[in-house]
Amino acid sequence: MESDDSVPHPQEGLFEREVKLVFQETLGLIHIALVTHYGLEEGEATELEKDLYLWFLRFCMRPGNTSARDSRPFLLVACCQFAREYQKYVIGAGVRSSDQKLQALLAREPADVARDFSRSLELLTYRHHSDA
Amino acid sequence: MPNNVLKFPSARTSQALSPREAEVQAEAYLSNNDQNHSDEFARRYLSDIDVVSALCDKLKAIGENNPQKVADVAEHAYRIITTNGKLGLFDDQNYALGELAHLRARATRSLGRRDEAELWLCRAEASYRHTVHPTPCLAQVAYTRLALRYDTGRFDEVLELLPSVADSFEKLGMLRDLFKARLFQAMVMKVVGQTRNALITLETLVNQPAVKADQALYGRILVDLGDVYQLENRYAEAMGVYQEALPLLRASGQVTATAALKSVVAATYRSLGRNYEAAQAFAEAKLDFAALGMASDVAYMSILRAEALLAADRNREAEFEVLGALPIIEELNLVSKGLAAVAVLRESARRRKLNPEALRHVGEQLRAK
Repeated sequence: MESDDSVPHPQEGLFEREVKLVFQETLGLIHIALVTHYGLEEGEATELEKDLYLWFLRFCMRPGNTSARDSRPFLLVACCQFAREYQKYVIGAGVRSSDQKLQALLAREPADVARDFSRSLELLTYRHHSDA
Repeated sequence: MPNNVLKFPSARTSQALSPREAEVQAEAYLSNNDQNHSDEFARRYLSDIDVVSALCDKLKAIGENNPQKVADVAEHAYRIITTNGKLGLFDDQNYALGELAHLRARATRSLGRRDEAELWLCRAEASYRHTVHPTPCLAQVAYTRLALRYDTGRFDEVLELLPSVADSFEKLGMLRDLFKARLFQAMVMKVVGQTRNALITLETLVNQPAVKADQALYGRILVDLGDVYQLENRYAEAMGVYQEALPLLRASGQVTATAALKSVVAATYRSLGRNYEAAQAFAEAKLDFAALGMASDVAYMSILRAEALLAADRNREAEFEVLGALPIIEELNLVSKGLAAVAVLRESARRRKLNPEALRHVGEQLRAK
């Protein structure tokens, strides 16, 4: 039996709306990660967030991603990876200096940093449910 | 980005294209691909991740209906993207390369080029491994690898390892992949003679509402259900499900499954002793497989047709079938364990007195392949 996965995509409008909603719900945490932890400027963070949204939209269409909400931990990994690459690039180009705290963060694997943020995500989800 | 900020080397190309625009560009790329356009032309299209994603979707839709085209386009796109540099954002490039390599692997498998398919599966894995969530894609690669084992007759290994792949699909919520894995399991059970287990698996599948809602998959399951019915001598039920399957397969453009359906209808005629009708149905299936470029299936249909013709006392036509199949069998090395039978068959065809035993042996070897 050959694997034929020409599965119709979910209704585009509805799907995009759900992804956008989940992204917007996570945006506060993403912004904190980019600005407070990775030390990006506000304008830089805003631009990276646009890229992140485009990536997340595509990511949610991949196999095995049953819902955008369940895919949020991967969004945080991508966020940390983006921020790390960006800061390394800027610091490496001599445009910006880094302190010890930032150096320590850049030395960590983005997936590990994202795991810490995921705990905040669980807290947010818990609050979201208890407020409902 | 503000002017005072250093430009980040990100490949932001996807923001301008809507899904529809990406689809139109992918269509344009595919239609131009027929004319062997230059790498430069390909680079223009394949530098956009959304166009590449749309292209992969289109190639998946073509699938087994034109494996040669899928193989060619996927390989070319893979090469262009590999040499082009950065595509998309974050892990987009690795995912796209994984998809293209996996498409190429499945297409070359359909074309009977198994060593090449295995190499492309390794390439797919190498790319998928570097994505943020590789588990679903790696499970799909594991499934294709088991399909390759099935092709080489390693049925026990498939039966041992398939449940693990099915479990992965279930845990990941990949329902369609899970149903396909169950269908695959039933197919292997059928081949190794566990027809009762195959029947239970298939009957459970066809009663799933999610399966019934998926015309293409439902039709494919019915083909195998009918085949198991005929193996259990339940011919009326077999013909009933074939009749139900045919319009579903046609409506969903399942050309390969339609060819497979014709072959199981032929096998049912054989079981009923209606040998000439069986030979006609095998001929139709053979034509379909030939149109798809699936040479090993063409050879298999020829051998089965020759058996049916021989049973219908149409010896001369049977000899023609055998003489047509032998060059394919030898060229693709399809019966490496039955060379003696091939030699006996060739000699008996030359003497115009086909050896039924050699014919049956070669048929079994091809079936195992």
